[in-house]
Amino acid sequence: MAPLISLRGVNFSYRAAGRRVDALRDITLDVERGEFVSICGPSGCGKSTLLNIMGTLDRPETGSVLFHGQNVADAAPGALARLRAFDIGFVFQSFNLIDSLSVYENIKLALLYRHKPDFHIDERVQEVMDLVGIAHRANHLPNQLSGGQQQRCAIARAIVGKPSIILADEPTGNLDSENAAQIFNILKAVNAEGCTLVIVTHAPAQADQAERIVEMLDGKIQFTRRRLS
Amino acid sequence: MMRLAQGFGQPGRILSRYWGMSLLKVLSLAIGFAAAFIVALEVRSELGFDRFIPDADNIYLLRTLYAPDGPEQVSSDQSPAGMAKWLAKESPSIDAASRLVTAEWPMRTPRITTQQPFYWADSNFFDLVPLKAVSGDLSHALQKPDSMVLTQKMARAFFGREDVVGQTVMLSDWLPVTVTAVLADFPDNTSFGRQIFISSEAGYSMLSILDAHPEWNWTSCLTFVRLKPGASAPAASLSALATRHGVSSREHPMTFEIVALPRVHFLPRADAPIAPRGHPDTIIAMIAVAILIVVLAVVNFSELMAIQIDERRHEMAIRKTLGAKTHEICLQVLVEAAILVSLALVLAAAAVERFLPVLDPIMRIGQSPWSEAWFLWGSLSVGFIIAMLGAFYPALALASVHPRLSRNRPPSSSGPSLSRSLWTVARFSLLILLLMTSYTVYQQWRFATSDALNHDANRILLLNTASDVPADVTLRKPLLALKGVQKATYSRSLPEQSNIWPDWIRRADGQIIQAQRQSVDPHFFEFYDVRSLAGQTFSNTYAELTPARDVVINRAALQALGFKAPQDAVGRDINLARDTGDIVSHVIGVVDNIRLADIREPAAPMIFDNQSAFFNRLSVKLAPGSETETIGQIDRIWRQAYPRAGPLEKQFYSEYVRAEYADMYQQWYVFGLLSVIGVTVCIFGLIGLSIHIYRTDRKEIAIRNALGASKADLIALRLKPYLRPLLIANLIAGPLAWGIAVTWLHTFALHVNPSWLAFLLASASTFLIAFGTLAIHTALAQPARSSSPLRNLE
Repeated sequence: MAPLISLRGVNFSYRAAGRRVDALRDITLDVERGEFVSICGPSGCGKSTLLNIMGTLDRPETGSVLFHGQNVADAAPGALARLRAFDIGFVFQSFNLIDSLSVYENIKLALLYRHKPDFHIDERVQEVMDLVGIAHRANHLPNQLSGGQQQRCAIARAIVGKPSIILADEPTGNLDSENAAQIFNILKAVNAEGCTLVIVTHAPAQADQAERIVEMLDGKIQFTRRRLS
Repeated sequence: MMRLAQGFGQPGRILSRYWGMSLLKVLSLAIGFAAAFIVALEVRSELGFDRFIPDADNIYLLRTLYAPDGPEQVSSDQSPAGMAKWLAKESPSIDAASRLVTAEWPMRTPRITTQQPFYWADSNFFDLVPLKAVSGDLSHALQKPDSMVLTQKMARAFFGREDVVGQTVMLSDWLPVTVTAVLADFPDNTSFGRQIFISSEAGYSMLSILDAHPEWNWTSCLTFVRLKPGASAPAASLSALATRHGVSSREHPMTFEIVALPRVHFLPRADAPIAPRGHPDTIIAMIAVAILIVVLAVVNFSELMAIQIDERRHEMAIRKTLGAKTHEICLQVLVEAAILVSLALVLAAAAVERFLPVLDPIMRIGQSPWSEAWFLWGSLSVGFIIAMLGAFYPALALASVHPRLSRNRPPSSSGPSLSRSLWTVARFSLLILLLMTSYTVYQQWRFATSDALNHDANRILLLNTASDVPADVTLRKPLLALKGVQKATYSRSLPEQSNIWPDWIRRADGQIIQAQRQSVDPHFFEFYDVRSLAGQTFSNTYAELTPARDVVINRAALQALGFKAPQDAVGRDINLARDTGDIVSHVIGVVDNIRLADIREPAAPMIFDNQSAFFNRLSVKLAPGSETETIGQIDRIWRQAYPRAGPLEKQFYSEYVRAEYADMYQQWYVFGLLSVIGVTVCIFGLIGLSIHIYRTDRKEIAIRNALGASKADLIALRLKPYLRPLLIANLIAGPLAWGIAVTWLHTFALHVNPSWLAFLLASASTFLIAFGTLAIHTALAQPARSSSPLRNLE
């Protein structure tokens, strides 16, 4: 069976302060279905950029990105939007909740872009809120929540559509240790139920819990190692 | 000095940093001001008619009103030739009187030969109307026979230079006249459309001929009078004078009035008008629309400045934290605004200067827009003050930012606020009004110049067979022999609505009604598709100068005479009131009202006879496809038949109709132009708003994008907040525009009905403009990396 995501010879650069920055250089990586992969490396090594390429938020300059065996590197914006709506869930370090929407509405939003949702929306939203322990804050706005609650809300939004993969970019980076542990456990539980999880992290303790660890440096994959069981 | 340089340097840097927004502000203000300047120039031109003549308010035009009973049906800017002489001699309030008669003769100089319109002028004309001379002595310029005064423009056309006093112009190839003075060029806003004055002292001048026949009482001269200081000339005394000299009688009642020259332009339409009429309603409407456009532009400016408050709130809070005082921040914003407003005003003035020559053929502004310094500086100053008023609100709002905000991020927007929604409603209401008004005026103009005529005016050629040769009905036959001529018919002046000949009919109850007398040949009614209602029309013509035995009347005359049905009038005698006793004519037929070139007034009662002595017009219907060749053949036949006559005067009926409705065309043009400007200002405002919302909401857009929102979803998200204001604008402006259209259309006797299509088009246009602008901007304004806004935002 083909990997869920397969990156082949991916290069990506951007301009910053008038200078070209090679963020990713000749990246080749497969992520299998149900796998838990952590991406580690120093700041600026290209971890988040790699995650954004996998999540189709950015397009590679060269190389291919295969999703379910289909190259999506040159797919139309509409097709990519559909892919994100159905197959990908994002969790960001800075939560990225919409300030003007309540917790409930933020979570529900992920289902609305499917246009023909395959869930009973209200029930499913309630279910994930219960799952992440945020149901009692359903009608609150994001700025009325603590950091941990905001990230629970973000995770609920990411998993509500039962995506094939969750891409988490330093999901515990802004949280205290207690909240960080709780959030990480939720993500592990989601992975345990079969959802592929790719996580970018600086925390060695978290990275070591992944099935596979990808170590990056200067836009390149230095090495990949499997967890010693 | 350093402080001053810093004062302007810093705003300059800020404006260049927000260059896109600054450009939108400048352009939307400049376009609004340009529209206002153009309207101001047009209004100045209209209100300043004949004001270039010194003491113009004390120069009066004597007008004739034909008024048998009740309000007059016909008025004329002309008056009988004798009135000037009698007024000067017998009226104690009149200081001086002088006359002009219009004419058009062939003229030749070594440089050109042309058929030239001019005035026969009394020798004292320039004493009464003190036009400015650039050479020669106007006080004696017309005292000798064969003397001519012309403008600089005509001097250049005739001789290629302006120092032409003493030069000779040949009239009709056999009369040499000498230039005795050259006048400064007239502006466009003058009643004097002709720029050559030839002395009436010569025996062959029309004024001399009229003076030699005092019994010719018809209205033939433009008579100007000057009152003695403090005197007045009531209509009663003028009419009494006319009655004393037999011009007006009980049977042919005429009254007279004098109107100050600058006011003549705004009188109702008249027969033989001295100049095209202006419409006060149109001027008021233009001023109102210009004010609305300036308000729209200034509100846009204010709003674009205000939406930057969100973006600059943080900057201002930091400045306050560092010790900046409120008035210093306020001043900084005002200096920025002043720079933008000044740029916009300069741009607007330059645009007006550049585009006025393009607009001038229709708007007839004429003078250089900035020929008077007071007007230039006045306009710029008023514009500056108005725009700066618009800058005060954002300046005060920005200056009142609290320093504690410096610790927070700018709040993100979630669509337009209530005040912005209200402005959106106001903006689109105005746009709907403008678009619908423009469309309605266009529809009515189109109706007037095509549908109302009931025939193809582009194929009817009107030949002026009067010139200076007697009309000859035999011209019709050789023209009909041409392959390119389908039909031809003679008439006195129809279908043109000039040179109206009033007549009076005594009803059975003794009341006299007024009607227009027209002479036509037997082919006329069929040519112009005038339906016969009862009886018959003419089978021949007669040339003798005797009253018509048989007449045809139209439906309006039938009703005025009190007949119930057309058949009732056929075979009946009608009495034409004459001083020497009534003339009895026999009604042989009734035809429908003939709708020619006037849809403003109800159809006038008309009496048609078949007296060929008065035929002046030959209408020729051309076959399609060979018009140019046929017109050349017509010219050759004319030259062969009348070798001593000048070139044949001719114009297509469509040209005449368009000239008749030039004012309506001008209205449509101005409203159309203002609509385009309104749309542009609106689009600029929306782009500015869209840029702002996009900037403040880019994080939200990026989140939605990550969650799978398509481009269409994001565009819909942007458009949704505007849907309600747009619907409200349609609900407000639709009925209002409908009411205005209905009111305006009912000033016409014949008019189109206000169209639902106009409303739908205007409404659809506003949706298209709003959604198009926002959708295009949203679609184009995606960041290079859609993931960027999701990073580093904390």
